[in-house]
Amino acid sequence: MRLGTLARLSWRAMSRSRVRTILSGMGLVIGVLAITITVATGEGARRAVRGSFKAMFGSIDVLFVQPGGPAQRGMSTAADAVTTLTPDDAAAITAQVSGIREVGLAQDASKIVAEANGQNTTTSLWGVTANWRSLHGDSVASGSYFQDTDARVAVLGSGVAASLRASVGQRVRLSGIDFDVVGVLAPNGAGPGGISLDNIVYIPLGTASRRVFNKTSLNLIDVALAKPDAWQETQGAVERVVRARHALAPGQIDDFRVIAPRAMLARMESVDSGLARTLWWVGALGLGLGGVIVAVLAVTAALQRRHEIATCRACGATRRDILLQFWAESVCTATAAAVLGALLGVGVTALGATMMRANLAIDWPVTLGAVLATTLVGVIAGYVPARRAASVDPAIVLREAAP
Amino acid sequence: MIELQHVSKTYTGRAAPVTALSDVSLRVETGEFVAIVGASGSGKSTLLQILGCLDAPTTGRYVLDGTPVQGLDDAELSHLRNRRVGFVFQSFNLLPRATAIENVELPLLYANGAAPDASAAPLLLERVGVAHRARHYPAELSGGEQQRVAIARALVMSPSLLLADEPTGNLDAATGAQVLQLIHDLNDDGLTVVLVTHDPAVAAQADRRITLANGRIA
Repeated sequence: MRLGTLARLSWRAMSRSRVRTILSGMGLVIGVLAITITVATGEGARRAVRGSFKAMFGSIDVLFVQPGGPAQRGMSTAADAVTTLTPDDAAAITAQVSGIREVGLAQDASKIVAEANGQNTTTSLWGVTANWRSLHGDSVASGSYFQDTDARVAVLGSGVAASLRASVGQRVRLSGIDFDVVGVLAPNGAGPGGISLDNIVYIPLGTASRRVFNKTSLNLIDVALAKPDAWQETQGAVERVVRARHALAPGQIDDFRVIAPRAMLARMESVDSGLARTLWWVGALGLGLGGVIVAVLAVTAALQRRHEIATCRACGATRRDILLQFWAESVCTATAAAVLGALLGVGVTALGATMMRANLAIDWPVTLGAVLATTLVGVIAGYVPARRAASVDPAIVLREAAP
Repeated sequence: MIELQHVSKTYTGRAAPVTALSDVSLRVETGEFVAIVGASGSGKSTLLQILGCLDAPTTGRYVLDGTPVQGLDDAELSHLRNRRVGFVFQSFNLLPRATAIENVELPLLYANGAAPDASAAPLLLERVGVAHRARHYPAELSGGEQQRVAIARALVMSPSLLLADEPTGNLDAATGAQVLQLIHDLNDDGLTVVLVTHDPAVAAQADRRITLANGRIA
């Protein structure tokens, strides 16, 4: 029998025994729906984590080198007190470590008073190299970013600009020093914990170290990775270079630390994957039960439709025709249920994402996989009932009393 | 032309073996109208099923239109049923979830591309007088209409042999007479008809009557 004929017959049988088809496919619809939604929840959480990393760091494909080793950690001011990280360290990293795209240098201080237009606000002040903007993924809303310079120029985060009602061409007073506003950044939104990522002012590193902070030591070296997948090797190389420069003997603990967002992300995702495994089992169990329902109802149908089967056989259907007809019906029922479940799942996810602002994201490969798995369930669940239907002996059935 | 030579049929179920037919030899010429009569349990239906390639004889030889039937596998027997034989049953045996026209088209599904052109089914519905009911389901049709649809289905592959098992058994006298007239008309057009009945009035209309008793031709 041709595939088109099989599909047509399956559709006819399904659409004309609606209650049976709906009952039969219900379990699978719910199974696929559950998988789609749970995976969307997981994928949404993962994307949210990645998104906040991106907002915070500009990219997750970076390494951060900070002064102060494990022994010197603790107070938040520790980094200010430790002066061991220098521009020369950054130069050495650039020169000696491979797999690096770019290196950015920064000094920073929080709780700096900014004044302009008779307004004032407290902000964090960062002295950075000019490549900081691209490293951080910031975009300039008006004006432009500064070059590496000693000039008293500043780029305002959108939050600061709004608080001060300041714009490009105006002058702001930072820590008692006047700066010309050359640019205002586009908003970055909120970071982890709801902190604003826009309450920040950038000035050139040279200006910061000479006129504001009066120090050469750095608070942060930002290393952009050329080969993100090899971040662990790069991290090791950075640590070796800085240890050598700081003349740390073997066994002596670091006086700096290297933070890899990718490592943090991997830790968060491994917590996630335990949950994901559980959900997978729930989904698989759902599909298994759905398959059993399909099989049971298909066996019942094969028994109930013995007279129809016998009539088809009298009209020239081979055992194989009957097998294929019943099998195709189960497979089509399962596939239709899977597609319906996936559509409902996508719909619920979209609705949830917009109405409840939940972190949901459809995982298309998984959704497609769930549909294919469900079709496979139909293939498996439908086989035995179809064999049963095919084994109906028309001679015996047609001798029986009429239905 | 169909020919049975010394055909026997024994059913071996869980109970003791039952002999339904024993040593039946029979020859039906092309275009003949033969009635098989006998009491219930005399082997009429078994004989009809063997003639229709639904059941295989235990022993003996059956030749349908020159084709020896014994030893054929399921696909070959199904092919013969599809192309050479049309069945009409007492209880019509229409598929309940298929419309009249879809029922008539049923054998085409199993014809593997060798089906007649698309107009065959509508023309046959017209021929048997139920064209106006083509889109109706069997439950919406009267008994006479259902049997006419069933006859159209039996004819759609242009078989050489029509096998009718009590075709008027579930119809009132007037409707039964009309259906029988339709079968007569088909026979007049050259179709070989073998009809099973226990109604002497129906049997009387055949060219020839074969009486079965206890599985033997009496």
